[in-house]
Amino acid sequence: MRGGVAVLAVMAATLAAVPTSLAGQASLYGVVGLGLPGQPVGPRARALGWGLLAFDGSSAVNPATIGLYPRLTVEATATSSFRGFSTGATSVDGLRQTRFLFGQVAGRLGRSPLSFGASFGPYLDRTFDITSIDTITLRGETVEVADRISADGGVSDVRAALAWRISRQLQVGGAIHFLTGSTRLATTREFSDTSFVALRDSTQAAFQGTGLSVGLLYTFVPRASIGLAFRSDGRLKRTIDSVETDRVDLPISVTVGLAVAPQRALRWSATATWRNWSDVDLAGTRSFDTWAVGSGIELGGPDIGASRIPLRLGVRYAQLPFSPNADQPHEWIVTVGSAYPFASNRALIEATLERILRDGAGAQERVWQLTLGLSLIP
Amino acid sequence: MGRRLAWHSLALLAIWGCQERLTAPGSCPDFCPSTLITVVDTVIEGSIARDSAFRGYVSPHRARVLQAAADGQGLLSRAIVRFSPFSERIVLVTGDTIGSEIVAVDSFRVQLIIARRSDSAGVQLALHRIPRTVDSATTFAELDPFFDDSTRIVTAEIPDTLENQGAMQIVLPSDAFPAFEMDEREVAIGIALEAPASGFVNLGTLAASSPPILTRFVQVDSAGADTLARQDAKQPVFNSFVFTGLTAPPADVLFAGGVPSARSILRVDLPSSIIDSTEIVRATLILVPSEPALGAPRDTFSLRAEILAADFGPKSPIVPLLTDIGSTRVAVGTSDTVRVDITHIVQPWRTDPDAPRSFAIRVSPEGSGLGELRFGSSRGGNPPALQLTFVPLILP
Repeated sequence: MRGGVAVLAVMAATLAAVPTSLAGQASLYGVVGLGLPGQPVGPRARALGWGLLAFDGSSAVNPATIGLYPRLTVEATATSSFRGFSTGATSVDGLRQTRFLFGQVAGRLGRSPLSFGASFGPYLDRTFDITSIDTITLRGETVEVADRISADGGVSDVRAALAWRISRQLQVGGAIHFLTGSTRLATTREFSDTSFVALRDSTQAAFQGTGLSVGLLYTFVPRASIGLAFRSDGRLKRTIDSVETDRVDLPISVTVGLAVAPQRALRWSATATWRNWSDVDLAGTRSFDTWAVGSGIELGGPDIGASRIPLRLGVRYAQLPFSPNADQPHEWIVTVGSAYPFASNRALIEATLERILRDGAGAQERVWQLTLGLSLIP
Repeated sequence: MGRRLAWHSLALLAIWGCQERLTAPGSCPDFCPSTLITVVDTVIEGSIARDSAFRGYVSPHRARVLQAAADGQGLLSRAIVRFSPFSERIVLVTGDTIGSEIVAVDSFRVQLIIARRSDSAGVQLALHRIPRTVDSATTFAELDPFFDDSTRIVTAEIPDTLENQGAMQIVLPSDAFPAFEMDEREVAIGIALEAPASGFVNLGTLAASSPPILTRFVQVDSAGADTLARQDAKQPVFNSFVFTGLTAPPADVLFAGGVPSARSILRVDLPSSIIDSTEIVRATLILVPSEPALGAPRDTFSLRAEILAADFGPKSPIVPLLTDIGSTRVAVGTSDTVRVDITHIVQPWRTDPDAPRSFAIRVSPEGSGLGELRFGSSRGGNPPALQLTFVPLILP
């Protein structure tokens, strides 16, 4: 019981300590296009180079994975990033950000083979705070302008999922996704010629959209499974002051994964995802389809017996969908993570450290990212 | 063990939650959201939908300056001042209700506050005796005969070292006003610019709390023995200026300034796409003079755009501003296009749809001289136009 109180305290602290906004990671590449795509990925899948993406119930990608929860479970994930970038003559270090990343409630419906899950996580992140100085010609004169443009917010993915455990080898699932959120863009421009009044503008846009996803998990031989997920999102509607301004096509996603456990304390998984972002038509931005491939291994774990504290290692390669030019950016991620069960295995703290190397479109970004997750079985 | 770890985690998370640093320099143009800011600068013809001009706000006798001016080509302006009557006796001791008998008048002295003057050297003023019946209805023509040599009291040169708002003392002889007693010791003087042939002098007034002051120096009977020198001073009961050489404006032009002062009310018709969906960073009113700016030669005046609390036509109340925003100086004689900043007027329209889409153009301060600008209207040629610099709504 005392352990349960401690668990609840940690849960409350997790929610209270981090900023209230829900968004993915800020990035230089989030300045371009719709922003930086985010995915609701839990700390375990992250630690395995996102290779477990098609099999991880703590990641809202494959709705069939909801069926993996034997009991009601509450999960929350927060992330802190430490970032620097360089592009052209500009080099910046020491940027940092903390965000509440992902939350989920999932469990079995009574004694039925059905399971449910409700989650929220990032879909697109458009968080940045950029300053710049430039000169423009106004009324025949050269005027120096100092700009500061900051955006905070993004589009969140609220998912309601249902999974059916058909047999011990096969489970399927489906989900409906509600894309919602808002971005506040604050713009300041000060002119060296004070006869021009400084521009101070703030606009908030609300986003709405829906999507559907289906998936399956199939254990085709003992200790080997495949996971498949397909997701189709509709059009993202943007409204400002309750007036719809435009709609943007969103991509479909196909995720395929393979997980193998050659020994009980050793698991390997790999997942590939394709998204057709190139259908997104944005003025002034190049859009590309993206491939993401990740793989990782896990040694030990709470249910294994070899070690209660697992070691997780992974690597991931992913393309980014938006670029200011013809060069499509990409990222390499190297990950390491672990987990610690406590409160009679009714609670689990997971930690993942990621080193992210983003390159392309004339820029480089280097990120250290620490993700903490907490799972509770009330 | 689990409980201890939980509390440690709590502390760690609390520290994390407090850290945030996102601000970074942009890399233009590829990773620079400044490209979101598009600045548009355009002149919008026909943006002044309706306009009208009204005269009569500040009359010369309520003006803040008395302008004595001449341009050598027919423009003449002369200041006129009627002082309070001096008493027959002079009070030497407080509480003395009878006063002392004045034996003789030694002299008079006029103090003038020089508010502003043309920058030429050797500026001279001529003081003339004029009828003590002058009032606000008195015309230049009625007084013109009194500005000749026979009525001249004295000619005085303004010291070149005298700064603006400086006081000038002019001594008048005891016989400056021959009908002093007959006129019940009430005098009036006219002040004309004697030299140079083209220039101006602005004198302080009652309205500006810097009026001319006439001091009388007298000898008082000292109980049958020696006389005592004493003095008393009077302020004006009326001050004004009269002028000639300015014609009435044509019916199809707008005008601002002059005396009595005039204002033009301009009603703006801008597309809602600009008012509602852009941020205006600079708005300039463009006025094309229909004739060279009128006024005293080498003078300048301040033309100002004023916010209206409501548009009631000529009686539209003006919202007073504490700053000099929205004003521009106009040189008399110029025919150049006049540009007046009206950003402070236009910018609030986006957030206040009830604000009147109109404003006033006037000379500030009103009644400060003959300075007047006449410019094209929507009914005639060269109507006023707006030059706007704006930033369209930036979409997140």
